[in-house]
Amino acid sequence: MVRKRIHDEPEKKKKNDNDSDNPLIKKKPSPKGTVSREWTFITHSNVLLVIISAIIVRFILYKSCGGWLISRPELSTPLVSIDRLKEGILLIKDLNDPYAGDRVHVTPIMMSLFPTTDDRVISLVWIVVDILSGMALSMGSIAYSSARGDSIEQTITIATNVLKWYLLNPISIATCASLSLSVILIFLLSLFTTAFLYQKWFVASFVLSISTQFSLYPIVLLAPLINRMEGRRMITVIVFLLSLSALTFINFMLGGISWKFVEHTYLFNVSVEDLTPNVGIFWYFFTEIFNHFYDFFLILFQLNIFVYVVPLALTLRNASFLNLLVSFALIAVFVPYPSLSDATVFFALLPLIDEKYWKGMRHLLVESCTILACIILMPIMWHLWIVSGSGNANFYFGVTLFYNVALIRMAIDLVYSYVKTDLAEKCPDDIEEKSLIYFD
Amino acid sequence: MEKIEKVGKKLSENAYLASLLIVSIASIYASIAFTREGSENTRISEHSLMPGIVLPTFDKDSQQIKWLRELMNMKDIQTRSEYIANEMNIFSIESSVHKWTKSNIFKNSSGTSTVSLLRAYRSTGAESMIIATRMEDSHAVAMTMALAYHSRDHSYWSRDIFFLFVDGGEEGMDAWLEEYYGFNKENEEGDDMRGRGRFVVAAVVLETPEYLARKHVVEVKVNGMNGQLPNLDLFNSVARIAHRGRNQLNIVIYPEDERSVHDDSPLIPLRFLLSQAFSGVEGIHSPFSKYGVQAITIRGPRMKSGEKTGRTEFLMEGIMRSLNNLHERFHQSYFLYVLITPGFFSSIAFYLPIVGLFFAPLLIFSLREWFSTGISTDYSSFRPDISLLFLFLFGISSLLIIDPLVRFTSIDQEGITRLVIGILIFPLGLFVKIDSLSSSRFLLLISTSLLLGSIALLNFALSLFSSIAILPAILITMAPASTKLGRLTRTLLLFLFNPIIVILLGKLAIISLQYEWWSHADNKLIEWSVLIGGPQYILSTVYLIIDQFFTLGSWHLPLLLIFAGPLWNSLLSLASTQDVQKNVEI
Repeated sequence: MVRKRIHDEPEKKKKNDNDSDNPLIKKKPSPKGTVSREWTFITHSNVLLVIISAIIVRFILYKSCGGWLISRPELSTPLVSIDRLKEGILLIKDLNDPYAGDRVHVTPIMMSLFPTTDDRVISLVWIVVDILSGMALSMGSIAYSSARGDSIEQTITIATNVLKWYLLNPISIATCASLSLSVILIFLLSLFTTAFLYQKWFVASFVLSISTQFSLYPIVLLAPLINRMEGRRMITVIVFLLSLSALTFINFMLGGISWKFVEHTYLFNVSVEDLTPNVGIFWYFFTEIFNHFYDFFLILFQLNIFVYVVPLALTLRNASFLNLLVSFALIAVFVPYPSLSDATVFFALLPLIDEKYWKGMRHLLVESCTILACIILMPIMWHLWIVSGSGNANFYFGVTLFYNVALIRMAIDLVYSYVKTDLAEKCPDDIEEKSLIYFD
Repeated sequence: MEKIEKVGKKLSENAYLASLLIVSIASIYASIAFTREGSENTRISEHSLMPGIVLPTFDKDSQQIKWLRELMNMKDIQTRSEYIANEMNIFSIESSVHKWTKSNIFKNSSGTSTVSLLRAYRSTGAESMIIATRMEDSHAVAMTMALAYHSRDHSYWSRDIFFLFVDGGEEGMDAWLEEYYGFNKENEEGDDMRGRGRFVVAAVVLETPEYLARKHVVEVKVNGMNGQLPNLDLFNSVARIAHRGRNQLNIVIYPEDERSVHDDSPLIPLRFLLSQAFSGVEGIHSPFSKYGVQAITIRGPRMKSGEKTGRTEFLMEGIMRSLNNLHERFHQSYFLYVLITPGFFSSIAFYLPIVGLFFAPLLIFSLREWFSTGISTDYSSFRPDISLLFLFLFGISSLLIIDPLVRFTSIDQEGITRLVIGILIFPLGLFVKIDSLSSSRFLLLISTSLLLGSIALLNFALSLFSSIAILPAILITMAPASTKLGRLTRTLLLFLFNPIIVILLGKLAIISLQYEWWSHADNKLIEWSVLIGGPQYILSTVYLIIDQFFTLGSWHLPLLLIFAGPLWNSLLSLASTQDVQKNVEI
């Protein structure tokens, strides 16, 4: 009955659309107005303060415990380890094949882009890139907030919060100080998010293709992009595929006219050969499992991330931003080699969520406290397991499992809150009790 | 879910009463868990350790006496070191002198240790064990040399045995371990490692203090760095071997005086906990824990004149035979425990709830802030004050600034010590104003309980005593104070919980309990001198904390500067801020 009502009232649905994306489609803000808000944001005194603090904190952390952070399994995985990138670069310099061993899993483009192995240079570049990521996310939030019809003060507050949540997030700071390649991936994803929120289809699909050639799984973000680019869906997909093919071809050329890089980058990602502990759910399971089940479960685990894409895209077809946010959570949880940094864009974009959705979340306190507790407990459990020997692998895996559960619960809670609020707005008379039956 | 919310609201409404109840439960539970009746028997879980109980065959006492006489006449450490190496080489035990220097911003130190290695001919040399002793302890050195000589004559060794004669105490031990594991840092130099034995299954440090000279007592110390404990099986093996056969030695833990040993005294677990919490480095066995090596110190009686052999030698022989037979590594027994007596222990599952209950009031008060001030219904009102972050950043910066301060100025050790005391005593929180009281309180309470829980996993006792110290401070801060006088009172009361005062009380408690000053009039003087010479005592205590941080990596200084100091300042800041009128009804 409730479902029928929604379909019966398309007009009302349009009118009460929960997602603030639709106003963007119908009523685009004037370029002049948007520019003015962005300029107001940049010249806001807090912004400069946040940026300066972010630079200082990153620099201090890198100088004081950069070496320790580089070795942390929570921040550095085989795909984003700076040590492995440097090894690849040095091998190329010595005219060796970087993929001859099993250490390097970075694409040839990446190795060509970073000709230096000097940590001081890399750290400076990383800090600048990280600041740009924060700024890009803030700019995107300005576009989104303006389109939602927020006042200029609200927009500036939201953009400043996004900036703070990214640049002052201890995980972002630690990721940057550990010189992890995640900084580059986050920058690309931030650019993508900004283009996504500005509805710049070409830039969004192009940047998404770069991210995908970097780590494969950002392809999941294509679904919200298609949702978002109403009217230009086909061309978005075509541009994405074309640029991805072009980048793969460049990789092929830079990789010594050989497809060997595919085996050591994309296939390495898919086959999950390296079971070094990380914050994900793959390593423990595949360490424990009998070899003859390996392939079967590998397929299941790899399909897992893609299973949710279509249902989510359909459920959140009118809320592409929420779709994007949940997709970020999926990437942070279900990829084979995740690091804590994968969730930073998700966390940074949380201030953009409409207040009514916040109110609809059921377990926010438990979820956020669990995430916080798990992040603090990860190095402690690692110490108990690896350093002092008084714990075992279950200690570490237990905490990472709770972290993943809390993160995915938060994403589910967001979807729940959206659907419930949406339904409550469309059927205000009889939804209160029925919503409990449907969603609790 | 609604039920849980109701319980949460109910608890937060009666936060003070609930806290009192929980703390009472925790105290009663602790008084049961830390008794012989409430704990478990210590037992050897790994049966392969049993060969230590065989009849001892040590018979190198005449050679031992000869070496002892020679060593007694040798005061210079370097001469002594070379003498030991020569003597061991004569007896076909591969030996070398290991010279080391260590320099950090706090001090420079150097020493000359001797390393003897007895290869096990029945194995591939993939595993080893270590018997270590202090170079200056002549009796222990002679005993260790005799043990090496005795071991050489037997062919049953399946693990290489290192006999270490360490100069420079804990630093010397750490220098050798860093060399062994290839962790040589900047500003550290040492002779190349002549021989390696790969994985070290365990290390036993032998000491023979004078006060145990004519007693049938063996004192065992187990605390590694920062309160990390060795596997309980190592302790159990020592205890079992000491009691059995010709040894008949009583095992005691943590007393300095045999008269104070009562098997069921509640002071024993209290001593255990206090030393775990407040002594960052307990002995030369402590640095081993940094490398995951199970290690303990055994303090045994010296050889008596006229007696054919000493009991400590038999005990050591038994321990070596046990370790020789151990399967793989120590993993069967507990790593996290509290010793109630040498024969009883409490395991983590039983004692960890105590610390959880002690910091549970913090969670109740954070729930009170969550429900009573409307954060639960309006998330946008959750705006924790950034000033508190500033206080914690100040703590981190003060730790980081010590290094450049020493490098670029002429500040000396005493200057650094005074600076650290100044940072910890200065009430910076009074100058920080809080705008959003509830959000800040909520965040601070949640973070504090999380940190206490995390510390509990690494060092239970430190977390327990920290919780006991923090809890009243939190209750004072959360007390309603509508008038200026009320705020002033709660602020002044918080001064009693300054980290320096808490540390001093902890150290004082260790000394008091070790000497039992209420029962021995002579030692009473020591305590009063500690109290009278307060400032000097503070200086020496903080100096030791800083020294242990820079030389060995103890956690006390970072915890004080990054956690305890900023927390105290945050509480001061919150206590001096006017309470906000609560608009939302619970």
